[in-house]
Amino acid sequence: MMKRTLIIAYMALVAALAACGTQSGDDAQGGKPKMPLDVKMNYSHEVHKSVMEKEGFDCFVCHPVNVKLEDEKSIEETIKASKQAFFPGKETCHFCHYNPQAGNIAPGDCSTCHFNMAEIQPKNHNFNWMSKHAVFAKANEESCENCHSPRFCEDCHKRRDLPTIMVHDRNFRFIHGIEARANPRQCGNCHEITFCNTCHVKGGYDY
Amino acid sequence: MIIRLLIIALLAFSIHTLLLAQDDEEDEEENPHTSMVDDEFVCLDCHTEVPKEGQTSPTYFLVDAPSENCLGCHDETTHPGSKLHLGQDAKPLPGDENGKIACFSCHDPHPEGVIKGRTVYNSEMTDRQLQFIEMIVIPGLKEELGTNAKVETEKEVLLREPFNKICATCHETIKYRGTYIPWYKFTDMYTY
Repeated sequence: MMKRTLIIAYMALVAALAACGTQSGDDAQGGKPKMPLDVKMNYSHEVHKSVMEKEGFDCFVCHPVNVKLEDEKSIEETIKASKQAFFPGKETCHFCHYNPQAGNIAPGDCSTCHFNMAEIQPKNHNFNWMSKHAVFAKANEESCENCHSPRFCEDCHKRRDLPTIMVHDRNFRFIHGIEARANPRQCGNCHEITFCNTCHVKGGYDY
Repeated sequence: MIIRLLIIALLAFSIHTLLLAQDDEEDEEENPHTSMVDDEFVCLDCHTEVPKEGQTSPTYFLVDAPSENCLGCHDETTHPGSKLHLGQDAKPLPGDENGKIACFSCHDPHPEGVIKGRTVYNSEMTDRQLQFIEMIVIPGLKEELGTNAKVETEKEVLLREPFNKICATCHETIKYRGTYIPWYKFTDMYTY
């Protein structure tokens, strides 16, 4: 009898603890889930409220449920269109936050919205990217500027307060003439002719 | 002879013009929303009887089920947003037979003047808003869905609330753990 009572008491204790565990979760806060990391979920209507009002933009400008799709759609396509209308595409956000052509009129730091930067990182930016990025950068300089400002490159390549070699050896100033004569075009990969002329003008380092 | 031919040509042209004008009139008459202001019989296109002032019914005296009544003429698949709204709780807006959102939760089928004391609103957008939608938003939709879309500014959409306020009827932004998040006012749920 005593043993049975103990088992019942033990089971009641386990049940009570389980109930407490449930209450300490999201249910205790009215079922409100934790903040998600998805970029679409990071948008704050409150932050944008005053800007939108100032610009005279209503809900339907970003959530275009007032447009009419051409042609009749299947149910699947309709649901997809609805979701697309509710969660505006990147073009809508980027018009203000990332607009290389017209310039940003809102904070342009990618991490403002992209908490998970890995989502937007190009596939070739992997572990060996530091050593091989020069090839891609020289092949298509504009491709870097899709995401990076020129300042981003200059922050490393123009630094002179670190012992690491960014572009040229430390003593390059004294031996660059050999390489420049061997292949003058190579300087032009990065430098304008005016860069050389800054020093190599008549009366200057003319040797 | 020439005069006779001219008269025949004139008559043929007149008949053609008259027929075209009649077609236009018929097209105009086909829209029960615009014609119900003047013609009470148009009510019977959707209602089984014309409700009297103050008279209410869970079925709104509709011919079909409230959830399907509009779909006899309108295509829900060309209206983005409809599929994600339909089936949600309609409160405090009028709902279908199950209290869920139907077309008439947001849209008032009756133009202003049909029901006494009721105001209906249209979608009025500024040129700037239109340009933004046409240049930025619609190309994005086209890219994602592979279909084109257009903004119908002139169309009378007959909204229950003003165009810039109707979302706020149910949606709000609340502060939760220091962050502002979109929220349904009445169902205690995330907007997304």
